[in-house]
Amino acid sequence: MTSLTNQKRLIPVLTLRDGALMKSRKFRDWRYIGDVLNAVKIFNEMQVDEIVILDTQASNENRTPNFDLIEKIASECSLPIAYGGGLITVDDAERVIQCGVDKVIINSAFQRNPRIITDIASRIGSSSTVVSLDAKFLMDSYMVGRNSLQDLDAAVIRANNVGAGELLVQSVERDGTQSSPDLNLARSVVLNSAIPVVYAGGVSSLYHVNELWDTGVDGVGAGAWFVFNGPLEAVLISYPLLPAK
Amino acid sequence: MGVVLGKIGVIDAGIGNWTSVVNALESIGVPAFAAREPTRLNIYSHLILPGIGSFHNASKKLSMVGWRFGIQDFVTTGKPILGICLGMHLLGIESEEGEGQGLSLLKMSTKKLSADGSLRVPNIGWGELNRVVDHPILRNIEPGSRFYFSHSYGVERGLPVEISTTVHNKAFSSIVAKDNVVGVQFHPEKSHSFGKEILKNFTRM
Repeated sequence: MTSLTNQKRLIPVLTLRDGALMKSRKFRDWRYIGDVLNAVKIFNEMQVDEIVILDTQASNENRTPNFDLIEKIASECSLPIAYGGGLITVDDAERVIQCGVDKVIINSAFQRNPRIITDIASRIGSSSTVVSLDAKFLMDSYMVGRNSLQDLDAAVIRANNVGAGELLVQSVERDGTQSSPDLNLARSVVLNSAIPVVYAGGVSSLYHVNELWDTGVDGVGAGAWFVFNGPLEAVLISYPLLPAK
Repeated sequence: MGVVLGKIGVIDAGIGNWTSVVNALESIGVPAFAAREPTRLNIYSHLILPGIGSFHNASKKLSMVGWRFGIQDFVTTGKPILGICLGMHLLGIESEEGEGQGLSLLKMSTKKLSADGSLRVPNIGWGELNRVVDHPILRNIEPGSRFYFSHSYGVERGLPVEISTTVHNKAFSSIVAKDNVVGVQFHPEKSHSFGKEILKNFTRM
């Protein structure tokens, strides 16, 4: 009798600014949510599948990661954590892993120099190396990048070729909106990727999650859905009790 | 139930995430320490070898500073050792992942996971265990228990050391063991209460 494996993952995505948990809308318009350690403790108790922590400030301001905070976050968790933000060297990536983090997420550094992924993967393993792509639909195709834009398909293929173990694709337009996921975006990435894909942006219900499973993604990330509640978006940490996938 | 009189050493040879394992053990009340000196492993009742990275690099590090001898000496005294993920691969002979020798404590080698099928490689996610043989490491592990896997390489199924299998595109060995040497492909320190049960069982071996 075979058993289930590779059950798809539902992943809270938590963003940090100044050490605090914040939530963006379309990657701007930030709202303060609360203390990240408290949030992580709650998710740990709820036995979520995995947590993604993104330090957008470290990324935007070219700062090195806050290793102390990362270590504290990791020590609260008996579940897998992925960290991204400000990771540009192999040594920093390894140091983040030594803090107790399971996967590093690389965004800008990959855009500037895709080969960094090969170097990081050969030090910490490809299954610990995630490439993150922020995608927007412009004119007639998806583009990724913050400072300079690249074609999504090309970026996905490149990430696969340089040895990333996983892809995290986020829809800039759907971010924080809880409107619905961009299924076309999810499908496009899955089509060009031999490595697992996690999609985030606009997810706010199990219906959305099921639609995403149908596109072939291996994981679904959500931020607003798990930190806000109700039409007035009051802060409340939550996570659904899921039937077996 | 029962007092754990042991002292667990979690190897810190720069090849794995010892802090998470120590934290996990401490959360179940088991004293655990980073083991940094290969010549002083005899002070521990159990050893854990975590592993993140590549087989090639890890194998090189094990050859440094006397880790290989230290670990092999420990194992010949009959005390238990647990390899986690890459640490499990290192208990074997060699790996398709790269050059280098494992510790040859278990008769097995590591191969690339099959990409032939609908599932992607690496295998990242939660999986269940199919028990092949009874073993103390699986005590009280109920069906439905799930564990976190994150790997591109694994040990093929069907070897005499196999204790449990898990299915990806093809089944692979999720737990292997012989006498006092045990390996788990998943990360018990990242598998919530299910993983802690596995760690607890190991500390009682």
